[in-house]
Amino acid sequence: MNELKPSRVDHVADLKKIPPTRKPRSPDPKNCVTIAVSSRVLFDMSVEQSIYEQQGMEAYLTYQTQHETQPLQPGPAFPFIKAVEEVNARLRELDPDSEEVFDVVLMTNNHANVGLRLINSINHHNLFVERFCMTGGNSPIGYLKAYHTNLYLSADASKVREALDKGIAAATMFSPEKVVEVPEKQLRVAFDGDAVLFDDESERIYKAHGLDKFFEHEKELADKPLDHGPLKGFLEALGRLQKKFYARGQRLECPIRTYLVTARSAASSGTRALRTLRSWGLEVDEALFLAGAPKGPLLDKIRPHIFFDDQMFHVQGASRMGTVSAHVPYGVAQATTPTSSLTTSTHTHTTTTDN
Amino acid sequence: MPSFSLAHNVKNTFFLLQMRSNAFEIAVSCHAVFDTNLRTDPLSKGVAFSFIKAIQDINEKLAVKNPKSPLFNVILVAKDLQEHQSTIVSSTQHYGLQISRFCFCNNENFTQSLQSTSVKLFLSMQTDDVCRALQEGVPAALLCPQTRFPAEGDKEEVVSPLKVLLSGDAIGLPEERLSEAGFSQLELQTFRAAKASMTEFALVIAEMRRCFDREDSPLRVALMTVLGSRDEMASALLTARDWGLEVDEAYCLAGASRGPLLNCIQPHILCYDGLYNVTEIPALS
Repeated sequence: MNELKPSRVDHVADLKKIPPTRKPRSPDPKNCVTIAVSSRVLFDMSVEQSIYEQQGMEAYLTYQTQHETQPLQPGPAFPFIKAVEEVNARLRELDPDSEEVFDVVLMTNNHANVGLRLINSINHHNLFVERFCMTGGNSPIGYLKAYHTNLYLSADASKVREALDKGIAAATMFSPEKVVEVPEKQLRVAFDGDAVLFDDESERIYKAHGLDKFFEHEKELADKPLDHGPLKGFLEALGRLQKKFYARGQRLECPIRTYLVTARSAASSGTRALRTLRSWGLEVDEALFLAGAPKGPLLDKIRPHIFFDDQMFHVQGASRMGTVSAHVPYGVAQATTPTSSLTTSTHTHTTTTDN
Repeated sequence: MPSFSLAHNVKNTFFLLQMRSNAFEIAVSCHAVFDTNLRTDPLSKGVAFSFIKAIQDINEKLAVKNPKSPLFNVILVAKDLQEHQSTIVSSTQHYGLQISRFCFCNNENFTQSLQSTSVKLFLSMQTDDVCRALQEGVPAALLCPQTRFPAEGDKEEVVSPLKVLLSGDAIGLPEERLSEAGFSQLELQTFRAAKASMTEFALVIAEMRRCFDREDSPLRVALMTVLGSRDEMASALLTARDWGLEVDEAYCLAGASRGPLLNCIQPHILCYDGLYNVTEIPALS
């Protein structure tokens, strides 16, 4: 008979002491809006990540196990996920049995040894994350499809690129350089236009032929909708949820608000952007045309929970002012992207324990 | 015409396996190992043929790492294949399969035959057979056909690592919750049997795994909860730790359909807990 280890630490006892809040059932992945987050964007694992990079896997796993009962602190995606849960609460008020809600899945290639710390942290922060995949080193990309993932957020750019290649909306998240307050009761999502909601057709023109040619091209084709970009589907999913509130006369108090924040100008190239959205039957609550001005200050006014852009330049600029920004590595802008100089080590090319 | 109403155990005279006292006997369904539809001699390889080779590979590695380690002892269970006895036995020799015993039986009595062999785990690709075995007190688990095959003409690859998927529900979900959720007595009984057989299997796997480093282990363990939520998963992870079992992968489905995920996980052995025969299962809240 095998020797059993001495009696376990009282995690389970602790877990059972938490009053069982009547948890709603997790929806069928086919019906809901699934957001997959990696452990490094949901929680701050910068200390652990450097241990892994400097001392290797064993040291990393030992550290995690030793600190199992110490909950991890929030990461860059945390406020976004909290706001998503607020929306779910409002959606359930509208329609308690509907499966058209958000579902958050923890998608990590971490080893199951780290599982207990992650579960303890989720419990500590009272997050409703019921589904997770810890693939123990395997790529999580196949699992994203299995969960009908609508949006994948990770700290690992290569996994994000892989997901985009498979047609899954994805973005690399960075920790902002300072912490600013974001609304608790309203989810705010800001999108860049070209190469995020739209494809990169116009960016290619601009890069190849310059600004004048770009304007000419956009004017000529003002009535022709742009092709869709990697995050169009996610905007669409948000729109479907918004309509549920509109249908009940709650447009003004809608807990989801979307923003288009584009370098296009309202006077000229902006027309095509708006017409494209309209042709898709989509709308954004606010369309902000910067005509090339920096996005940071404007985003600071909006205070979105997440801002998607295909250009690192804009991601960095926004991050500097405290906006949680996510890079969508899609389109022609990636060919000349400078390597990241952000404070976090997320944008490395070393093999990471986790995304 | 002779009638084979009793099980027919044939000790394999062609290969003498060093029987260790702590051998873990697994019985594998012949239909998985060979394609018994084609009347070839030797028989063609079945979808789980490479599994047997993998087991042998593990045995070889274990024998090197630790002379005291338990090894797998493989019994081949041939249901309703009495007329192919000699072909089956000679095929195993042809392919170099280390089978310590053969068990020829028929569909009505195969569970009895298994009971008489004191096998520790019966592996079949048929869910019905696994359930029946569990219900009649024979530890059993599902052998999963692999959807990733080596290409035609490739040198035969040994499946490595061998992935075992344990049921987190069987480990972490309290039975009361199941009866509250309306599972039948028969289902609960199967659950209990599955839990017991899985526990014993897990302890042996744990011991075998401890002979290897994390990096080069030919055994890989995954844990999956379908009905339970993260608290049950936490409980299962802690129990695995108590058993000294290293778990590599963990999946918490909270009621999501397991098919697509199993395709990603690709286990070789699935410790089925008897709770789901349908694809869509609501999670217990």
